[in-house]
Amino acid sequence: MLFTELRFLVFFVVAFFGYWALQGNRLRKAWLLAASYVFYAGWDPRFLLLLLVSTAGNYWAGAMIGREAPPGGRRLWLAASVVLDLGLLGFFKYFGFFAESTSALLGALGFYFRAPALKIALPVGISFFTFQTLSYTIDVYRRRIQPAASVLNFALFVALFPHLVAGPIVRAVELLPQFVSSRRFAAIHLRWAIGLILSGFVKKACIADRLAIVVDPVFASPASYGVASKWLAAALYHVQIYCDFSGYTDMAIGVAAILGYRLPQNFDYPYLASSVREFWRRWHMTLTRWFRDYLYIPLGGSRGSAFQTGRNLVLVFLLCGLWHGAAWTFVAWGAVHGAMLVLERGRFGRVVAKLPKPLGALYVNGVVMVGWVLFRSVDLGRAFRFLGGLVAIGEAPHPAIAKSVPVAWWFAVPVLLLAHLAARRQLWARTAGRLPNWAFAVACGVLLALVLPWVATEHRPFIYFQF
Amino acid sequence: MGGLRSLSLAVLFGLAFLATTASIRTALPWPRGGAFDARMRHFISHVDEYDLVFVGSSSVARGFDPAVFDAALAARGHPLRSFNLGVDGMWSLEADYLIREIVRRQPTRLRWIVIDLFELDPKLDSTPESESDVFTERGFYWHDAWGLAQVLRRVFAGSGGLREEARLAWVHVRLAAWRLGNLGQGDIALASWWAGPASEDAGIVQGGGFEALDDLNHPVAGKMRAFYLANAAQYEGVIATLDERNARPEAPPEAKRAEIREQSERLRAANIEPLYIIPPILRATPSLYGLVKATDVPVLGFNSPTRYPELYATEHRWDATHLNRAGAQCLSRLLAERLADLLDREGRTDAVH
Repeated sequence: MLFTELRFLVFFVVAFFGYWALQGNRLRKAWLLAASYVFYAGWDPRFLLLLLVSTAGNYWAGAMIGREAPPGGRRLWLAASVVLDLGLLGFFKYFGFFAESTSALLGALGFYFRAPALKIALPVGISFFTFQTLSYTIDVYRRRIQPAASVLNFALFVALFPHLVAGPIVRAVELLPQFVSSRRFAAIHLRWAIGLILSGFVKKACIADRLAIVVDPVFASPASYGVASKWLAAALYHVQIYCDFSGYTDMAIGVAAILGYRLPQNFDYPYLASSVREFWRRWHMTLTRWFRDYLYIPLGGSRGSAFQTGRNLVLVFLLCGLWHGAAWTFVAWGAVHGAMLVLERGRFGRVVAKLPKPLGALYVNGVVMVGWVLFRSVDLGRAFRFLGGLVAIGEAPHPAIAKSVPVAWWFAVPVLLLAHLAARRQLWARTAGRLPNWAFAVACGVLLALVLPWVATEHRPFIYFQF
Repeated sequence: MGGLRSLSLAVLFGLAFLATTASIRTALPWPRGGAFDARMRHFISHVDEYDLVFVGSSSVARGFDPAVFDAALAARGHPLRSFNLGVDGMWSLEADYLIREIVRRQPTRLRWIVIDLFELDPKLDSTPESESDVFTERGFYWHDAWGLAQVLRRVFAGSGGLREEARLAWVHVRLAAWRLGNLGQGDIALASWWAGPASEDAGIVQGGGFEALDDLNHPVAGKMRAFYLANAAQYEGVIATLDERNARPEAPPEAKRAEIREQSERLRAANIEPLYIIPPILRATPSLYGLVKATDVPVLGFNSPTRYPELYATEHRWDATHLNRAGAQCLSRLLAERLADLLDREGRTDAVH
């Protein structure tokens, strides 16, 4: 069930009216939890069991960590929850990848090893909810939060449908306190929430999905396209992935807000960053801070030598790449970002810091765009062919069979950049804020009607659902 | 914010949305993206020049040659001008939308609409299972409020079981939502505004909308023909029993009867006479003959090898469902004769078969 689908609208209308019609916090939360499970079962009912197991296991572990006074017992329960979470993630997401990679490695060394072939379907959103549950037990262990007051609260923290399948990755400390008291409809900043939902919808359905139609064939068969088409496809994918993911997040935050819950910000105009380091403070912010707090800092962060800091950065970004997908393309993508961050900590970083802002943004967008080529490619072979093609290395397609992306699409890039800058200046928010209620309602109706004709009629899943 | 205040804002939102989508729809070219664009475009811009139009599936589109039909009627002393608006793969509710669009334009000269009496399917006349086939311009353009109400009525009158009915109903609700929101129509509106109205297809205008399968040169049509020729002997057996099977008409569903009744009343209110036809196909159509008995609308049945052997002769057929050019000329003359008979007996509109 995608946020841009009609069935989500029907689902949400029922969930919304049911939620606000009920009296009492407990009843409302129970309703919302049931709705969230229905939402998740809409993808594949079998995986609901997985979600329930993860919820029950981590709730129990959290409660035991909170109760156990001796450090050994607490550590044991933390280890149990980590094993459960990473075990589930590892089995469902990485089993095939590691099995294949091990077979290939042993084969290269001259040993015959055939890994068992299990066809395991990837449960949607597993990386997101696993990171949430991990953060919960770790935070309870670190005594930063108290264990959840009730299993209902914890289950809702894990499964709240706006963030369930593609984030933002919410921490218990952000969400659990919001479950304590009943939400008030009057306290909701409706205009802000509606604005987010509308802008998210436009980004996803009107921009990202349309760009996908142009971009997909080039990445599927890069050898058939010339240099200019490859550059164009890379630039358009750069726009597509931002609109896709930030559009989803906007909708998620807006939908949660309408139900009275505040989710953390996940994007802050990342393509306007002037260093890769700054980019990661603005892109998928909740994932970045997760890796920072639960991996980078425990590894030593930047407190050790330059070598240790570099090692930590590269390790974190290799794992960040792997978190995105069980493929070497993601690992390579993480390596590129890790390497750039290491470089920026040295003399190169001082040069970058002195660049005028537009030049810095150009540098960041160049690096990130090249990274996205690795990220989007089906395999490393095709990724390198694509990257080679960008600088005319490798065999060019024969003119008789060469395909091309219409040049007109180049116009999309500056247009979208301008829209991005306009959004940064909060034109919508400022205009909407000045309107009386009736004019705001009319404006929303008119805007929605004007937007829908530009929706790509083929539904495409959000890119980040696969992670 | 009070409940009433919230409700009034929601109503304002809805009205603004509906008004804007309706305005956008009027700016969109119609028809668009369908196989019959050129014919419909011509007909709309010459709506007052025709006395009779043919509406229906490929059996109609490939089965009636207006030039031959008009000439045969003129020879009987009834000079008419006709146009073929048949479309491959059309089904009854799509045809009904087309008919409503024709009537909405208040054609001053139009007296007859010859309508394919579509085969009855307890679920839907035809619903491709694949979503990519369903969710197309052709799939949703007829899903206005009336079209949706009709199709839902038919879905729930069927016997497919609740699960299947819900699935089908949801498909059509989504199609109606697509149409309501003009989903994905922005490019078309922009292209139409940029390029202006499309020029007319001279071949289609000259042929009165008729295009014989012989001229189509389409691989699917070629395959259908090859299959027919390869199984010609088998079809002889079908032909031999067709009349016998049609002689045992089946009672049509009430929903279908109501549809036909309502459609014919609507046409008559606009001073247009509906004339339903059962095309000659190599398949028994007892449900259609059942419909003839159950309604008082005029129906001309041609699915009878005994009565119309020429329509089943191999030299007149393209395949099991369609006639070739020679067959279409033959059927056009036959229909002209029977319509002339009706016109001669002025006032008679009862079932003919």
